Amino acid sequence: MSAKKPKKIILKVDNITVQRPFGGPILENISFDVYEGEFLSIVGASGGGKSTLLRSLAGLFPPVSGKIYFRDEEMRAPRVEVGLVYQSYALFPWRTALENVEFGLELRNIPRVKRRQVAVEALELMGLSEDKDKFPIELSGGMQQRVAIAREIVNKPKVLMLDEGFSALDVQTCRQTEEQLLHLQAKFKMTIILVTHMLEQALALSDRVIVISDGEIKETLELDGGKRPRDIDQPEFRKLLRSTEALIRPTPKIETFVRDLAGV
Amino acid sequence: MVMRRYQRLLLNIFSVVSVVLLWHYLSANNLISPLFLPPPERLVETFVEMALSGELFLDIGMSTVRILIGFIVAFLVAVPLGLLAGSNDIIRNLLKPWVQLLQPIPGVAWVPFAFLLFGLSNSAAVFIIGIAAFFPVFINVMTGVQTLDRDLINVAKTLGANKLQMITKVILPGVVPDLIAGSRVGIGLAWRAVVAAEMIGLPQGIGSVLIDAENTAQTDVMVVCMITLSVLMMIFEKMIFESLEKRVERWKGIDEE
Repeated sequence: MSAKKPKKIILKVDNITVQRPFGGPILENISFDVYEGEFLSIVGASGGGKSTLLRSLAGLFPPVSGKIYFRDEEMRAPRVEVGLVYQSYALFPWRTALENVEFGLELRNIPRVKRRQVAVEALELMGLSEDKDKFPIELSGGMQQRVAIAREIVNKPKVLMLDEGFSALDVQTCRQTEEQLLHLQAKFKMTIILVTHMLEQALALSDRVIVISDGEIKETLELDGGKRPRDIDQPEFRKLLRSTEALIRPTPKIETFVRDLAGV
Repeated sequence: MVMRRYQRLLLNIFSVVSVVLLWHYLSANNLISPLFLPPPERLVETFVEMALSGELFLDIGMSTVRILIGFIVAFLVAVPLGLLAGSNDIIRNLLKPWVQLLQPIPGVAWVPFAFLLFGLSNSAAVFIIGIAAFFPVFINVMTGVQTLDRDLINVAKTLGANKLQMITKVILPGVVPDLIAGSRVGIGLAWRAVVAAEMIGLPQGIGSVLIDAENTAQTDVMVVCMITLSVLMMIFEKMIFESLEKRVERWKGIDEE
């Protein structure tokens, strides 16, 4: 009997505290590991620090203390291996879908013919070959998101992070994009980190779910393997959903205030 | 009421033709003195005379060259400074009091100062035009950089953009709409300033023809110069801005009329 292969850490978050330039901490003493090839979701109420955490992982918002490592290297700046898809998709409005996807390759001086070919293939993969010459404003929210994902995958990131990537999509587009994301993860063997306030989605897609509330990790849920997305109508799934929902609710501010006063 | 393109064009033509006909009627019946407004056919004759003698084109050419050089100088200084001020708080706040102090001064008000500094020379013209065109371009570029979506900058960072690539591939294209708007205003102000400078003392140029015509009571020459000036400004705008604006309108989702 062969021993189970240990999971390789791709991102290590080591006791980080992230603070506003002129304010208190947004995240305090956060530590966790992200494993190669896993689908990790970070959930929590709005304003709980999820997006800030993602920006820190992307190297855009450095922690005031603690460290973040990509493999064994400390992350001090953004790197191409760690891609981020923004909530607003952040497509360059003056570039067509194709030109947006080409952007990262252009930065690395990949010859025009080669980068065009790679970008066209990525758009085909995302089902957007017909729309490659459209500007972002001419695309629907779902299409914009797929362009933003294509823009990242042409750079072959090891970790793809999505910040509330599904919040602006209708249910049907959301389901299609979820399937597409799982397909991409399998195809490119990527690690995916999804930040979302949609707990049901996180539980349906992920290997692990980290619950963040009031700037702290409240819980880390290890979910079983099997087919994903999970069947959200199963009684076990509903039960898990209800118990996790309670963890997400932010502490009422008055309660925090009284606790602070009492020094608890 | 939504109008078709040809209907709008017909209305434009109708408006111009009816005013010209009215003007012709008033002049032909001596209801208006030719000293104040010569008949339209006289203006056509004057235009042809001035064009054939080469006098008009020489002066137009002089004004245009002054504008082009002055504007290019203003543009080359205003764009990098605007980019710097837009992206750096310290530089912005160092420049702010000077911009607030100097920007409200009309280009024409710089004319005596420029003459004192450079004499009645083309350098004075370039200085006046440069000052007039600088502020709108600078302020628009600075504001454009300040209001550029931060996520676009962050995306470029995560995709590996270096500082030069950030400027050439993200910030500059992102501020093109502001640059166009600023340049439009800048060129308009530059024309006003150069015509005023030519009227006050600069040799040659369309402004100097205008003032000579006023001194010799040649109203037809004055009107021909004014109309030529207006047409010239329209051509300038179309040549420089129209193709750029077409693309910007498409990515901004502005419907063409």
